[in-house]
Amino acid sequence: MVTIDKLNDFGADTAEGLARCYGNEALYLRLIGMVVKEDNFDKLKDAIEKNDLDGAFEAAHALKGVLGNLSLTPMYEKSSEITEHLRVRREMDYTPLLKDLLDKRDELKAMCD
Amino acid sequence: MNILKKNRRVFAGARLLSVAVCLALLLSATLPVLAFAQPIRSKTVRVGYYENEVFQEGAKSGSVKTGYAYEYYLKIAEYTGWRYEYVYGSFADLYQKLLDGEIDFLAGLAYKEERDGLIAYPEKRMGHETYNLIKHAPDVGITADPATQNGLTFGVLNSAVEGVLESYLYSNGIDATVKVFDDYDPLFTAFDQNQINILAAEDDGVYSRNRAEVLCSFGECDYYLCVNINREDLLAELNTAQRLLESEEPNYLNTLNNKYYPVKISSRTFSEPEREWLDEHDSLTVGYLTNFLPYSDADQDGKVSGMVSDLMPALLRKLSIPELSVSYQGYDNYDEMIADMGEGVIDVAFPVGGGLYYCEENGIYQSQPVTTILTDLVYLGEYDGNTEKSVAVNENNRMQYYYVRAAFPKAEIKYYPTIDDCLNAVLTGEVGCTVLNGIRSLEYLKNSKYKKLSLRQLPYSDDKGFGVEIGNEGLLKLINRGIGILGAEYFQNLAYRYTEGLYHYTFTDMLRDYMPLFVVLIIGIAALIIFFLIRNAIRKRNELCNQEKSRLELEEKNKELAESQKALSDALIAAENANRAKTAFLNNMSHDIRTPMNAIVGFTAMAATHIDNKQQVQDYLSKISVSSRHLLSLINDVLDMSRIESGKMKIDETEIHLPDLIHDLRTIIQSNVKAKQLELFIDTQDVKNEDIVADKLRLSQVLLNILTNAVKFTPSGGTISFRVIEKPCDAAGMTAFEFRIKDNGIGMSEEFLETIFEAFSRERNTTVSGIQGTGLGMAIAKNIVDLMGGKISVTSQVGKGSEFVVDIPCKIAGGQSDSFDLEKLRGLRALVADDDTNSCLSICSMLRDIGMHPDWTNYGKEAVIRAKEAFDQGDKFRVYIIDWLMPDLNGIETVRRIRSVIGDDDPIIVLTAYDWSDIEIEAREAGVTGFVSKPLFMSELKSALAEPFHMIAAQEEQEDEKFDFSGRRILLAEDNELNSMIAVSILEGVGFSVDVAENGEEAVRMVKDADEGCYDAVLMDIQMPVMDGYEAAGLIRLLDDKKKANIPIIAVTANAFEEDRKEALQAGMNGHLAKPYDIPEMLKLLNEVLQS
Repeated sequence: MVTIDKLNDFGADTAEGLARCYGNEALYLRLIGMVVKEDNFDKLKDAIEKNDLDGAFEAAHALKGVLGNLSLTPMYEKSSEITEHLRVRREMDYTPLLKDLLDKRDELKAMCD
Repeated sequence: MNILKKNRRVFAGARLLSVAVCLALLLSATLPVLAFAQPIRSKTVRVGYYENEVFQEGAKSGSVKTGYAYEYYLKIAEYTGWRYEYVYGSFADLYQKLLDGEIDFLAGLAYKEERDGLIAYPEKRMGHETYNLIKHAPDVGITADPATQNGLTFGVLNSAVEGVLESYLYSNGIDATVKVFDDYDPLFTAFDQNQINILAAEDDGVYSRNRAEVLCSFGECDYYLCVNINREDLLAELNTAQRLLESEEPNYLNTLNNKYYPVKISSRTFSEPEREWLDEHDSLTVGYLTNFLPYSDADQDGKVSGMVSDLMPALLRKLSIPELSVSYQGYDNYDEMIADMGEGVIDVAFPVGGGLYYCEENGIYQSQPVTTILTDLVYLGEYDGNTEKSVAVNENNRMQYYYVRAAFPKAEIKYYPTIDDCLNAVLTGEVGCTVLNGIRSLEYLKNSKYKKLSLRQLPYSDDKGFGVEIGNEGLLKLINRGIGILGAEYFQNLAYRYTEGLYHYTFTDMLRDYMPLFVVLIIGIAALIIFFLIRNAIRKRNELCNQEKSRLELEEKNKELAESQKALSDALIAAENANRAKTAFLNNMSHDIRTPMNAIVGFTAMAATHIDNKQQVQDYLSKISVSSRHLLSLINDVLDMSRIESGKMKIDETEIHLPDLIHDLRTIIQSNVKAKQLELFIDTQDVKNEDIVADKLRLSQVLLNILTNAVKFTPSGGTISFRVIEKPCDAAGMTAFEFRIKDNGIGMSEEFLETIFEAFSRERNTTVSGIQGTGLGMAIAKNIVDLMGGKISVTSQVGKGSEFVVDIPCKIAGGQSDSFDLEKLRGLRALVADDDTNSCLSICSMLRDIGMHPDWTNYGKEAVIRAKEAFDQGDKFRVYIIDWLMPDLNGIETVRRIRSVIGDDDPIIVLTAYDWSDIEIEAREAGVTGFVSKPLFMSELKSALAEPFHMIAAQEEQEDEKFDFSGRRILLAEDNELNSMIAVSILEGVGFSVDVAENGEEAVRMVKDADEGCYDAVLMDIQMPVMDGYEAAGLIRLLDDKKKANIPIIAVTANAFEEDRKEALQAGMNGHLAKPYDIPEMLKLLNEVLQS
């Protein structure tokens, strides 16, 4: 079960995240449980593998918004970095950045199980 | 029933009563801690309180409580935080109430097995008492030896004492008759009528009974603060408190016992050696040192003077042997005095000292010390390694030699015939230093020829007492007994009475004192003198002319008007007197000029040593500036005096800020106060109007004059208190201030008081010892106060001190109200800790005025306990004002402990009478939020409180900006489920009803299909599938229904770039928000667009 303490250890700014849910801890934790199943992670991965930078930007941009809203700081920062590269459609090797992001996602997922 | 402490009053005589009264007075100073404190939420416990002399007094609602037990309750409360509800009654009633659970505590019960299970005993005792055997004084055959007690009749009260007595008799094998009495009265009657030989009593059962003596003690018994058997919670708290008390203040019970039940040696039997000595002697010869004030001296007629002349008769009186005749023998030389004692010429020598070792070497016993005073090292110039290399010693004062030998074993000793020669040798640099007894040095060095010498206190104290030849044990014991009875305070008072003789202030001294000043002011003063001379010459000439003229007239009228002529000659005498007085006045002015001049010289020197520290130098410069301005004003006063005389003086009224004036006064006198080791308390009372219209210079001149006199005429260790009290005045726009300056210095005689405010008419001249320099300043003060429409009065008593009261009416300066909004503080609790009760009361009254609920305490430790208590109760104090210097726990430590309890939130403000720059860093680290200086004024308090609360208030305001969007409906266009859930959560939280569209197209359709006015706004994500936010917004704007087309739309993107904002506005949207949502910003924007 994911808890506020675990999320704090993970590096999330839970105080800020909870504030967005008006202190509703159950809602916040439910949203965390949902974010790890976000389609956009796979969309981003697929798009990058296919070198579809437009699709990748869209997915990264969406992820950035969600992760930021939940104040999952470590993942938000990674997604922001990817988004900014993609915004200018930079041709580069995205796999290390993507791997970091997905590793973090997996770490969070493990917490939620 | 066994009542351990019952009806002590039966014993009590006048002596005990007076002790009790003293204690009551003493305690009344500490009592207000609880008596006046604000209610705080702490546990209230019920204590049975029965009247019992010394042990527990004031058993009546509203009467002042004192006593051993009472003080003990308060001590326990320091650890438990209890508040007490006192239940009054007789011991028997209260004991029953304890059994019935109507009270929680009852004090003074001994442990009895049969009580176990009925009442609960704590682990530790609250005290113990000793049981003594008392005999009739004439029964010299009865001694502490048990064998002498065989066959006697013992009387005892039917109480716990009886059991102890039985076991004493048994274990010592004494065969005696024991009579048991049910009450004290018959017991004492039996003793007085000699029906019993020995009285077994509690403590010193003799009290004031004549011809009764304590024989020996035969046991002791512990007694307890007992608890109702069902209150295990209170018992546990009491046990914890007692354990803590024992570990934190291990000597507490002993101290308390000494305070309330001091050993009364006087009532003890004279010992065998003392009796023998008294039997063999009917006279006593006392040897004393001449020229050794305050201890002893010979006056002009060669008669004994100094402490010894009062001490010996007082001692014999206290010992009840006034029939012993005393004669005195003076000595110039210590060795001669000691030698004569060896010869049997004298019985006692006074004073002796220099250490026990040398006393033994001289073959004398040294008595209990009469004075224990630190010795001062006297030297010239800088103190360095050479200072102590050579020491001047008075060859006639062996005590000094002994002291120097012990304190400076390596020093070279040079001998001089008198102490004055020693001091002169130090002045000329022949030797590095000399030493002076601390009680002598202060007065000695006041003599102006020694002004250049410096003092340094040495760590070794010097006991001085009586000397008795070794072997003369009886006399030694008698003297020690007498010293014990007289008490340390008696000697101290006596010593101060005779130190004055060390200080001879002559006209030459004065000239010498003021010489440097004359050099500085010579031109100005010379000009003034010339001015006065010319004016007086003119006046005299006029008067002479008048006289001449009238004489001519008289001659013409054949001397018919003889009375008129007499009047004229009186006028001449008056004019001449005035002329003389003016000269004296000029001399005296320099006293007033010295004080600010000293401050300037001192701070200039300090600035020079700290020249690299810009801030400190700046501080010194500002202090110098304050003093120099005052100096200037005083020089102006030389001129003013003539204006006063001619009625031409004017009061220059301006708007002034009273706190500035008071703080300036403190700055000016602080260094003198510190140098003399005085305590200065300044506080305010009911001061509401701080901005007034008055003559600042004149007012501070009056107050400074009184204050510097207070400093000057109060001996070291004394106290000066300065109160500023506003007294409301009926007239509109007017108010009145009362300034009370009180000291416990040497005071003034009644005859002097009568003329103190009179200008130019003093009978006593300035050179009269002890009252030098006053009078003229007071005359100026009186004139100024009169001009201001005020009143000045003084009460004084020689040896007790003086109190000046200045009442000044003044206008209230218009319209300056403070801008601090302290509404936030209304209803909050505040805690004030200061050992000065007046200060506490004054600050609490101010806090109450701004709507806070203050508590106060005199103790740092109690402040910590209260802070914790309040915090634990969930009703914490929101402001703490802590005095910097408190005797039990200093301010920094108090703050540190409070911080550890309350965390970082609430402000702790430190109150200090001193410059805080040196301690600021440490204090801030300990958690101090800010500083305010004493005395505290309302405006300063407000500004100190506003500073920490301003930020908090601002923050709270922001957070408190509550939006209520109930009844509003909003359309949220957001494709991501998570983001929409969060947004819905936020929006519903502030009252919106929310509909969600998953893309732009859906959003447009929902707006179009909805009833008119259904949606108040649209929150539009930009990045959406099917149709993005820009396009959707554009389509909405193009709807036919104008109302719908103009619906407020706010763009939401994951970027906070300026381009996004621009683009959103270009697409016709009303605003732009970035993800992640910033709730306050989001609500603010929504509020904005919904209102427009």
